[in-house]
Amino acid sequence: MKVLIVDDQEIDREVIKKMLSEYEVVEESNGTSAWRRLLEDPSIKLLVSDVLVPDMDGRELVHLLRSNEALCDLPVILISGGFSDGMIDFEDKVNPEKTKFLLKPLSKDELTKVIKELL
Amino acid sequence: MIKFRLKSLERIDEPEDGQLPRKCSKLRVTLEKFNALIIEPDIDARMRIKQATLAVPKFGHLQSVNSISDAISQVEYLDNSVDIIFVSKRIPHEKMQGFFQFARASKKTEDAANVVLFQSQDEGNALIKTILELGADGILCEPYSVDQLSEIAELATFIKRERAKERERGAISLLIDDLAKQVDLVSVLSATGGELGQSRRVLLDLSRIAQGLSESGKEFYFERIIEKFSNLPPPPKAFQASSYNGASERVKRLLSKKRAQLMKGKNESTNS
Repeated sequence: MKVLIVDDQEIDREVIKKMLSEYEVVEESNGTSAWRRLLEDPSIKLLVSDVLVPDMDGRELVHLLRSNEALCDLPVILISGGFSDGMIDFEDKVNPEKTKFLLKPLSKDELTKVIKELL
Repeated sequence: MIKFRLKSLERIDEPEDGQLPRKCSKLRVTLEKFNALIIEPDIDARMRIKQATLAVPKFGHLQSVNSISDAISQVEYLDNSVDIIFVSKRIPHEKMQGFFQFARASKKTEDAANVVLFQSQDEGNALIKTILELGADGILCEPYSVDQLSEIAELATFIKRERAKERERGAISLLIDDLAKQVDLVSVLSATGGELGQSRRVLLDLSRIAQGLSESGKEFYFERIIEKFSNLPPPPKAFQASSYNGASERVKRLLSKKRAQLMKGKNESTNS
């Protein structure tokens, strides 16, 4: 299964990649290129994204996905820093069961558990 | 007459209004000096150019080496940036070209004028085209004079200004590309009814940068942005809303109003 990781920090992407070693992982560093990749590659089955990437935030990214017919059911895990990124109260109103939040620092067990719930 | 470039004017004491100044106001003028790097394998020739530059007050710190490899290692440890690099014609052309490229890429020498040294005017004139193609900015021929060296200093000023402008233009082109992408993103989010957050903030930040550009920067910005946005293709598929139902009611109202105004204008000109 292919997973797309989105984070502007390379080191954070590497950490998540290691946690997802049993999956095929692709990565992007900003929301715009992630969005393009998702549209061009229908084999991506899960999105793991930092909530604040350089050009957009998690709310906007989820909105883009849910407003697109091909991607509205894509499972999404948003990784939040807590109050610092202002996303703590965000809710996916369109497809709430397909969007999960995790707080930093991330643990492998937590991530694996959430992936099992989503898929 | 010695010409110099004013680096800064600084008022030391400001007189208070209605009172005699406690001290005289002075203006402090700082002379800008040009730092030079000399690459000359021949010891006598090296001494001649060194002595010639020492005789010109415009020149500040002088560093001299006898090979390109020495010059490359010196550049890394320089305290100040270099304004002029004198390179001997004895250096093979290939090494000279490689060094000019290295100098352009190094922070301390990126704005330096590259000047090739010749023993005679005839020799210089014969090879000037080749030398300029290698990346040199000028030549200097023996016997050296104060006037020639002053001209070289003027060349260095010009080169520095042009390179800074080039960098500014490169940065402005990148800014415009970022602006175009961000406008696409914000517009698709708005078109699909999304609430704008980070994307709008980023667009505002980019716009603030554009507003803060220098006068010459703004001139270039408007030239490029008009050209760029006129030739932009429609937003890539990634940024087209999945279901487009035509223009919104607001846009339809605005367009009919505009059409009515145009018709009115046409009718009035026909009747008159």
